[in-house]
Amino acid sequence: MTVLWAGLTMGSVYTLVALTYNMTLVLTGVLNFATAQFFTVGAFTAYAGLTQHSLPLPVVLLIGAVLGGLVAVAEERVAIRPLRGHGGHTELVTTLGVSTVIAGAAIVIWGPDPLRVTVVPERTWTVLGGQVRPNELLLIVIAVVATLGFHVWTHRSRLGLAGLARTEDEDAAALRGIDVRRLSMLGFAIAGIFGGLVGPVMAQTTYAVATIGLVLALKGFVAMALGGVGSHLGALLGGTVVGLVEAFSNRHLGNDYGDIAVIVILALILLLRPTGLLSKGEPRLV
Amino acid sequence: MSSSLPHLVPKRALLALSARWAAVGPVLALLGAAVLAAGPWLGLGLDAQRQIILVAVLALAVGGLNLSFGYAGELALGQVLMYATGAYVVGYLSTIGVTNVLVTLPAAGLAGLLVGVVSGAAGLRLGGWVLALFSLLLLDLIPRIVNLLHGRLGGVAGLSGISRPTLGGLPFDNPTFYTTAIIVAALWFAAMRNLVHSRQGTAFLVLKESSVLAKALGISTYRTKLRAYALGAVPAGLGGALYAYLDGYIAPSVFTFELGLVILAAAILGGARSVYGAVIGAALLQLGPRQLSLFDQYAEVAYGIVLVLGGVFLSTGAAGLGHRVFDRLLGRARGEEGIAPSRQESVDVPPLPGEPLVVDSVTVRFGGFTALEDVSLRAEPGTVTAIIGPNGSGKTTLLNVVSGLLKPRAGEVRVGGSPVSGSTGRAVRHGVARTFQTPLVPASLNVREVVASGRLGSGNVTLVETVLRLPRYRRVRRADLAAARRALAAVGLSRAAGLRADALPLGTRRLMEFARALAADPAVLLLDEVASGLDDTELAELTVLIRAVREAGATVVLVEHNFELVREIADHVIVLAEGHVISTGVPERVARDEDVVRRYLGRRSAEGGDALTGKGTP
Amino acid sequence: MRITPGRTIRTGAAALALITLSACGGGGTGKADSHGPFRVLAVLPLSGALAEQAKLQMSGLQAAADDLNGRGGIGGRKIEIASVDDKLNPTEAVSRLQSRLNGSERPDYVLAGATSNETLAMLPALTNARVLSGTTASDRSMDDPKKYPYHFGYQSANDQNYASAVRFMKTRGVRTLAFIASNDALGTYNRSAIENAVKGTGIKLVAQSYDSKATDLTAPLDALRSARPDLLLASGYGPAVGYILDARQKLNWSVPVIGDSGFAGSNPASLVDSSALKDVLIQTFKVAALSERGSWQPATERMVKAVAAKGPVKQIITLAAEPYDALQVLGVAAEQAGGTDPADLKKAMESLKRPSPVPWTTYAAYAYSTKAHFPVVNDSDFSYLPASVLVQGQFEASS
Repeated sequence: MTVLWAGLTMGSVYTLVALTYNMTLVLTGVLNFATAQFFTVGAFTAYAGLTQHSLPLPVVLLIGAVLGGLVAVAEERVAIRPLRGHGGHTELVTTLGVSTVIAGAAIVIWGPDPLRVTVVPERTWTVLGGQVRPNELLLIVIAVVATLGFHVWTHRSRLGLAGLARTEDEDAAALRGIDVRRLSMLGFAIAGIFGGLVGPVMAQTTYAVATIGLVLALKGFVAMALGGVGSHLGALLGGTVVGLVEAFSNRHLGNDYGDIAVIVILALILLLRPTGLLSKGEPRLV
Repeated sequence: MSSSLPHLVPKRALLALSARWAAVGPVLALLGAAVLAAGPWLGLGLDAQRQIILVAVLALAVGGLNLSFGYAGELALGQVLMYATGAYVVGYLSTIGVTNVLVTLPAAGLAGLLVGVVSGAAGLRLGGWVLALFSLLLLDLIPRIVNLLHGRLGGVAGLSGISRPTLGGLPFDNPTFYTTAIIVAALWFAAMRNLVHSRQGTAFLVLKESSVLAKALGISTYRTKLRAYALGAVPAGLGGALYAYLDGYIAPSVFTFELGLVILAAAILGGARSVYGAVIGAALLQLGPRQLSLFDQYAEVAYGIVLVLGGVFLSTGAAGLGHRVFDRLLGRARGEEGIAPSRQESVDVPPLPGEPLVVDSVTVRFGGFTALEDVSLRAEPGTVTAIIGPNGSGKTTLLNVVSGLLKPRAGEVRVGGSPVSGSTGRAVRHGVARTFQTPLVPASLNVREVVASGRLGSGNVTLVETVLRLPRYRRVRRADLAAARRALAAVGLSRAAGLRADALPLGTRRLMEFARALAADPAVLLLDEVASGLDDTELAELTVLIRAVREAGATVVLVEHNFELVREIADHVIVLAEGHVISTGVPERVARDEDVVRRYLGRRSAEGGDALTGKGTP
Repeated sequence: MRITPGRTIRTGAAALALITLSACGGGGTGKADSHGPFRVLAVLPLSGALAEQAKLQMSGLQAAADDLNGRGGIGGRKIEIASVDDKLNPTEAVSRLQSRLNGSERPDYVLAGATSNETLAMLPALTNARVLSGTTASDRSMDDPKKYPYHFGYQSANDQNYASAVRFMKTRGVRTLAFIASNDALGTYNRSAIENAVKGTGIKLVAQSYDSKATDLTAPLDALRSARPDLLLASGYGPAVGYILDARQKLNWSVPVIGDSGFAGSNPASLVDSSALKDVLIQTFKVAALSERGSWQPATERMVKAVAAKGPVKQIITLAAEPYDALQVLGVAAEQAGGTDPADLKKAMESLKRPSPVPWTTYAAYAYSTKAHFPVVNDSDFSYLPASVLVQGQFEASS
């Protein structure tokens, strides 16, 4: 049971990263390599705010959200907007550059060693026969709530629908009076604010450490592809599947099989459903 | 026939370049490679040699990615896997005493090819987006496989003591190894250059831009993608082999996701759709970060900034930038000569081997929707058959069935008595060629290449013949260009031959598609609304052209809204409505058919469009 | 065509000499200047994940150089220290090293990397150039005097450390031992080391490895728990140390833990809450245990002060102590060899006569021989302490 909780916790981490990928994909049409680093921004803000300066939690979360949003919007301005209409997937290089800058800056400021972040008190509860920590439960709750929130927002709100329309056909969307630029900026802002807000909670599980961005970027990517590119519910499903498969195969088959099991499951699902579990359309990205 | 060529003047510079570059580029590149290879004897230090070897190694991996990603459009980050394979193959061969370079390097290339074929065969079925991910995850297998074969491959601690390659039993010294590395890289880039500047390269680009078009031209999409992907694995394997020899030590910690990202960044920054861009990108990424050490602890941040700036300012890659500069310089030097449209070209279509087309009780359903129900028609060589009908009546669907893009639920299509339905390959082999309602134009090709691409489905030229430019390749290529020249002359676009295809206005693009179909020497020519967007003069000339094709002996099938044009040139008309044939006959008879008037011609008039002059259909 | 390696180097050097006018003093000709300064080159990951550790190694080198220079240097030559950043990349390490080996300031001694991947990549070039080298990386495949005659490790590999730890466990009555390590080069080596160490001791071993990039280790720990071991020997580095202790606490598993030297060096008390450190001991060299002050080597106190003077000590002191020792051992060897010729130094190192007092700090005796170029461990070199916070690189708690 404890392994189940652990799998769900890591699943939530992957879900959150996949959701953030989706947000920029749906609204901006860009695969943002720096997505996972928005959480890094939140994580280090939490370390600086809570551990170094003993600020109250709400203030720290606010600073995290603002910083995350600013970093994301800056990224959009500097690394995405100038590329509009060029094609050629240059954004894979520029967002990789942004990711490198964020990780590099974190190392310069806080060093390469992992730092402990305590957002909610450290204790262990027994829930449903397994041990779990409050911060892990919180992470699971956040993942579920955020998924539902994003899903409803995307399918109900005017901007969300505009984003969906943009995914279908950018030119047509522009013709229908949708401001593609503003949408793009919005996608990044939401992703950044979200990362800055959730990063502190995530860091209590993973530590604030500059090198984690790349690991999460990859696993979040797997979760997104598994669930279906652009589908928020798919991100939750994909993240949870990756987290659980990894945890249980590590537990029962041995460490060398965790990643292999994930690859096998992914290959199987994608062979049967190339667009992922919950995506309806063709992914129009590459 | 006129076309709006004056619009094109601003883009002319670009095209001028391609012609000049095609001649100058390879010579410069070969000279450069020769000078580099002689480096040790010209006083090049060991340090510089090592850096250049590392650039060559990275360039090989990047060149492979350029082939599969830049040309065939498949984003795969699995290069690292092939690279590691090449490295471990020569590493293992060294431990069992095999060091002859004539054995080990080909073995590494072949091993790369093998991994490419196996991973590509599986991954390419998944399609682009997923392939990118899949190939990334394959990298995870490297340390595990190496660990599994711990005894042979050294495990995670690495395989050390790989001895330098030998030739005739003598081990290579540093300058020899250096020169070998340059020669290997130069050979690959020469081969790649010959490959992409060929009908094969055109096929890659066509496929990258539109798989529908590729299919319609008789290109096997899966096989072509696999070919690009697998061939791209060969240089990666070679690069890995050279890398293993360089330090005599390899470890799984080198073959990582990060290396995959470096290769990708080098490809994009150098210009993925270019041959020499790989070298530029590799040099940028290999030599650049070294200079960043000046920034001390900020080196990482500086590297990230360089990636962002590089991506923004080199969005077409360094090669694209180089092309523009090169072109501007030469363009200036040569002065600006205008391109005037030509109107005096005679419509001269060589004899075409027409075959009868038979559509026999074809039914097509999409889900629950019936697009065509029991449709039959027969079109004879030397005649024009027009298919008309309201929007959504199934006209284009019918063309898609005839050209093999759609497989009918029931019924059959025969050309000259042979069944062709459900296979674009068969349709193309039996001489079916077509145009599209929305022209499918590969943006990165020039007009001549687009027209010549009409012949990609015929003329089997092997890769070896292509790369080595053997006589058969030259013969087929000459025939392609001659046919393209004739077809362009026929539609009046001779003067536009060197322009970038995407620079043409819509109407002209339709004519280019017409020429592309014509270049294939079609037995059956399918024209999908080829007249829309043309002005009256152009229309008149198009009429002459279609007549000429008919006189040349082809079987012409025309989907058209312009009833005036139909009346003028069609020998036979078929009217479709809601997937059924509601009337057939000569134009005059059809025009008088009450059902047709009520359901199509009349309604078009009532809607404000004038069916009889063909203006107004949205 | 020139074909022999010897000629190659000469040819390369000649070509180089032609174009680099600065190549005075015998750049690249295979022999260092035996009158100029004794050049020490540190090829270390000064940026990236191990940057802090690498900086501390530099402090150790510099502290030793100051000390030795105050006494006339090595073999009468003043020590000069230079460093290059290899970014933790073996290829970059070789590039950087070779440019120095071919350059005008050819090193006499190279501190070759912080991980076995870097070191193994550099060793062929170092061996070819007959340059003495050393490293804190400890993988037995580097301890091969036939293949790498000029390389001397200055940290004992875990085969010895674990054997010592197993003897300690025997005194604690351990019958079933659980072991966890990552699947990278060090972890894999450690796993084979513990397998050898328990052989013939009657201790039953259960082992799990974890992915070095993993962020949650509940699963492998749960698997270990199911074997009901009496003790967990944990090997790890960086965040993994925290993940191991976190998972143990989460599983509510009270098994006592011994962390190996890498684990100790990651400063576990900074990573987890003190409640997760119950019954956690670390195996550490006495030099890093404040409570062992009484049994330190005599030079230790001075070394600790000198290192602290070079900059803040945020990591475990052994990282500085071992490079410090490396130069001190070289100094003794040069004295006994009567010069700094590499071959003579090598011979002197292999039959080092222990001076009194010893100028080094970590091991009682380095005891290199013609068969082994890694230091020989005595059980008395180690201490087993509760994992407490590091202060100036040393653990405050006492056993």
